[in-house]
Amino acid sequence: MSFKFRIVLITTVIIVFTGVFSLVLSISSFEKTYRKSVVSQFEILSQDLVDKIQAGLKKYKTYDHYSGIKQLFLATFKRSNSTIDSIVATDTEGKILYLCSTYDELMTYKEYNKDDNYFLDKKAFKTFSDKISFPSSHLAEKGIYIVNSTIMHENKWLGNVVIFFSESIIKDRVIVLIKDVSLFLIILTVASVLVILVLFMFMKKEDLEEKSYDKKVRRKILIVIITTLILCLSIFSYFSIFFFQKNNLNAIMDKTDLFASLLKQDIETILNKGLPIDKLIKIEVAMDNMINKTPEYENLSIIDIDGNVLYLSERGKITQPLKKGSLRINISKGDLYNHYFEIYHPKTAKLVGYIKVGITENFISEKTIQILIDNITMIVIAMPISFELFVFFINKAFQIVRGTVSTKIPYSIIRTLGFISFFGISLFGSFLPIYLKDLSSEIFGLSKDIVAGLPISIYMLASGLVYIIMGRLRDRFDHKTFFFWGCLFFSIGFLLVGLSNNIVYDMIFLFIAGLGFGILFLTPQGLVIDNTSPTERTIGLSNLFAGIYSGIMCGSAMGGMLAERLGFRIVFFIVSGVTMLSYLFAHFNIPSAKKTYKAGESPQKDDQTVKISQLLKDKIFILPLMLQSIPYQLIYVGFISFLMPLYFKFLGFKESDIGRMIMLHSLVIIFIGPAIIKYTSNYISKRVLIIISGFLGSIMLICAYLVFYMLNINVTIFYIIPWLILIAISNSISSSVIVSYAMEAFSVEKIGSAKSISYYRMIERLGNISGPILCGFLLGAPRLLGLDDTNGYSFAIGSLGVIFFITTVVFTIFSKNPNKVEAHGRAPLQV
Amino acid sequence: MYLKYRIMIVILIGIFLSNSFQKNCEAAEDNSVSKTFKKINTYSKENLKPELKKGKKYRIGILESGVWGGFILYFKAWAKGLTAFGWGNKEILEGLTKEEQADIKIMINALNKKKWSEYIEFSEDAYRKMTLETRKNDTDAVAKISNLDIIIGLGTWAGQDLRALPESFKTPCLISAVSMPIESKIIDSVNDSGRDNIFGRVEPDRFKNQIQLFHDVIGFKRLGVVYSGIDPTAYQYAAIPDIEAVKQKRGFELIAATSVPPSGDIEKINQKFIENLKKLVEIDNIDAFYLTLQNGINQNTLPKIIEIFNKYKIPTFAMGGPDYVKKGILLSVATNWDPIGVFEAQNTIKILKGNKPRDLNLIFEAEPRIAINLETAKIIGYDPPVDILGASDEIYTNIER
Repeated sequence: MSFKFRIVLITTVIIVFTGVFSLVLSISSFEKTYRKSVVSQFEILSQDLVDKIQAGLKKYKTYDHYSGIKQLFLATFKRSNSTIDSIVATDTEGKILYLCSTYDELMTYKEYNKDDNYFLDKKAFKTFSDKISFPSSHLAEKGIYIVNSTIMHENKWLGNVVIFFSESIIKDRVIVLIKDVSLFLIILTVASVLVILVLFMFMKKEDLEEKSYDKKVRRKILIVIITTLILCLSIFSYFSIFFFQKNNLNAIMDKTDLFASLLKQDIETILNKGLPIDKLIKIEVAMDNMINKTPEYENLSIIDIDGNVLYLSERGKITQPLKKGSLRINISKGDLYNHYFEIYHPKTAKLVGYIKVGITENFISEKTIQILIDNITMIVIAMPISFELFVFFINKAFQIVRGTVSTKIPYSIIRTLGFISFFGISLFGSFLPIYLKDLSSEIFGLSKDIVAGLPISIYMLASGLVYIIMGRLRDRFDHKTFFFWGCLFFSIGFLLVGLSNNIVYDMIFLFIAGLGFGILFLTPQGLVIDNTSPTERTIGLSNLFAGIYSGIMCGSAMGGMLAERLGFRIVFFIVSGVTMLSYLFAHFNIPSAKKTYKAGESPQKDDQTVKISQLLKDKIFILPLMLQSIPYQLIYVGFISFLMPLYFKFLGFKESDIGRMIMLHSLVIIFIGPAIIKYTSNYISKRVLIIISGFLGSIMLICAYLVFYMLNINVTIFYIIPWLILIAISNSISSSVIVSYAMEAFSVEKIGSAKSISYYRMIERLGNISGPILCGFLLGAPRLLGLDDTNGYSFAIGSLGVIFFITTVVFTIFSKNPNKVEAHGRAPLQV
Repeated sequence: MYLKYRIMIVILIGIFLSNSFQKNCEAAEDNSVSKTFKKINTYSKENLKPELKKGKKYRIGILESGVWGGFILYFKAWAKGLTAFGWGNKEILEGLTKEEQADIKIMINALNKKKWSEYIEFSEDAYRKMTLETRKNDTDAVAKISNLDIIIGLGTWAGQDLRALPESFKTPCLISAVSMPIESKIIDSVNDSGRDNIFGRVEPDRFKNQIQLFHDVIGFKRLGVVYSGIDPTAYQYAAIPDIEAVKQKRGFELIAATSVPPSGDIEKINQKFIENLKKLVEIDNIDAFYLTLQNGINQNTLPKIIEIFNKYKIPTFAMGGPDYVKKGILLSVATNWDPIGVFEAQNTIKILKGNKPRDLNLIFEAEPRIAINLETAKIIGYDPPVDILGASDEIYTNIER
């Protein structure tokens, strides 16, 4: 296989992979939005039926002997253009009172009396809760959709109305949409590959053989790939937005037609009884009801043929009857946001008036903006993914072509390994706390909030235990074996989480996954340490962590988008699959070799207790550990991994937005943090840097309570982004500088830096483990303290800030600059 | 190297098998949505199947509490209900002429003559139309007839007198057409008739709901009612206790005209009724009228009554149901006769088959039907709101003259 062919293959793989991912995301976005739109039409019908039943109940009709309900059911069938299969009205236990269905093309209606005990299946019936005030819909089983609405009378729940319809109504239209989009993307991908082929044909063979042109050639290839990718994805984004807008608009128009037709039919029925259009007394009450239950519409009005607005209902306003002539409008053809529907007298067929429906402006644009943001995120994620894959493949290609064989593991492999494994590990970061909170309940006497945080704490505990276990087994197995077991535990753990529906089981499964995570975190580091000389170690580790952070950044954003479209469980399965992929990568690229010792050398067996106690007595070691690292880990796991997704969800952000914010946080840590350290380290001591970052981080966290909550600010993305950036800067500086400062302790020299770091990391785990539990407790604290508990999240985040603030103050008072740095003139350890 | 792959494969197979097993267990519960109905218990219609009493027909006695046009309507609905369950011949019942349905006595004679039922017969000597003076004797006379299987008591007098019979009297009695059976002391409560041989249909809050609806829609301040002040049962028929109860909550006045005689010459009763009515609208200045089931309201007087109300633009509400709305009363909400007839027929059959009347469910679950007359609304200058129109089961655009 020639080099050119390999490069084309690599590029094609990258473009196809990115293209497929974009396609999956786009299709799932379209399908989800379109499905929601079609289902919402049935929700409108259901709500209309419920409103009419409830109006009758107010007129002293009785629910279990409701005269005229058959006519209401039949009218609903008619309005649905016979797309409904059945309508059932039940009591509060799901016992069927009335049934109307069109199975086998026959319309049958049946009323059940007290002695007939027919119950609706539990999959179809939903018990009343505060969440069900609007119709709720779900796919009960393959092919059957259900819309469930509650019947209320004088604040008492009487029963449900359940509408069944076939999923094929949605599927048929979605399939057409998918075909259009898929075909377009396939054409685009093929075109991109052809473009690349053409471009690479101009590459010179001599460039490949001359090693001094290495960087130049790599740069050229990378530019071609990135440019093609950006162009391809941009074109796809443009057309996908166009497709989406077109189909979304069609769906909105269909819904608007239905919305208006419900009112129109009611008006025509009254006109048929001889009443004129300006005698629809109290119709504005019904109009208010319609508007308030359909957020897509802003206003609804009935207008006579002269343009006088007779009845007007506006969202969020109390409707008053209008005097004729007090409000006039010019009847027009309408526009994107305002639609007119003509009303004809059923007997004379004369035009008597119009219905005007006003669509909420944001409604149309917000979904398009969402798709646009998702596409931009895709492009942003595609760059590092392409880069990481490129780094690996290009080096491999050069190796093979030039026949160079290295005894050491190349940095590119280490970097790619870090990337793939942590890409999989971070897919669930943006939604795991949300998923656990939904499953959570009060158990073991603990509150729901604490129980929600327990699985994450257990996950962290398991990863901490690995430090101890691996320390003992390190010399018995090679890195590949450790990596295998790490992938297996992690993969199985998340596979089981995806299958489970119980938080106690999830705790067990996350423990298993945590063991895997600990191994996956330590093994690559061990691989670097064992395969590099002390001078190369820093480069090796920095490559590894660059891959890790790149993986975290891409994984969290992608995971959020996937979770929003495909559901949480699917993403857990993907996590499992990607982790096994990372093993396959390790299997084919990492040699199997145990740690070897030179003659006379043997594995050290140390007295760990003595060593740890020596370190703990050293102020330079213990102060940053207890007062900065542990609180920082508490915040990193408690806030970033647990509270932040829940807080953002509470503020109304979607999973994909949460994923993007975690990505932003990672970007700042990767790029801005190191840049700040680089430029300030010559002028500001590590101790001062730690203090500044500590105060910065703690004040930002306290702002969540004092500013966002107490000042009752409407927290939008424009507040969140700078706030999160400042927290990320604080985290970035902390994570880099604290350990470096601690390693300047005198006792570290005696014990050894590698061992000291491992003890440091082990004790630091206390922060990881206790973070979610503490945050769970803080969430419920406002209730215990008798405070307003509408926003426990702000209180919890603010409390974390206060803890961090206090520990930073104490650190400021009691810490000092390590003197031995100046005395020995030794550069601090780079970690 | 192969061992770890084998272990991995075994674990994965184990996970998928356990998941499939779990899914199979769920499927075995047969809870798919396409099979949505799970039958637990069904009351079989076999229990109401017609049968003879040891080869002989069941004998039915009837006590009618005086003269009231509603009794024949109850009786017709009851006979229709029995026919629906197979106890009578549908063609014969539907083939009765208007004259043969003029009153209950004529009707039962016609049904007997035409052999309407193979399973039941009406005993002519066990039919009595009571008067205020003869009511007790009529009750005793019917009670003495030994071979009756059930006595149908229509109206408050019949119910009270049958209830007053000694405990030794065991013949089952089904009391119907009583507006307030508890207040009239015919039955003890909605759950217990108080006597093993007494069954009395109750329809809780029926009149309260009517009055509340009327007040919701019109918002009147002075509600007029006409009834006979002398007859305590007329007070019940006019639902005065219910009006009083709603009046306390809603804050309107009740203006009653009570000088209608409870019995006697029909023409005099009619004339007195109209006089009372005129007094209410011309002198007492009522702004709404509740038309109850009273003497003086019949086919002859109804057009005149409506004419008066329309002239003075008074909104009216009929206790008796949509039939009155058809003829020009503005509004009504009531249950049709048919469901009442079915309910009474079901319980009659259960009693004939040996069930103790006291054990049966007394509460009739009404199916109220709302009716409105738009021509009347136009005449009196009332614009009905769309929610009333939407909830109405019967909308009449003309007054039937």
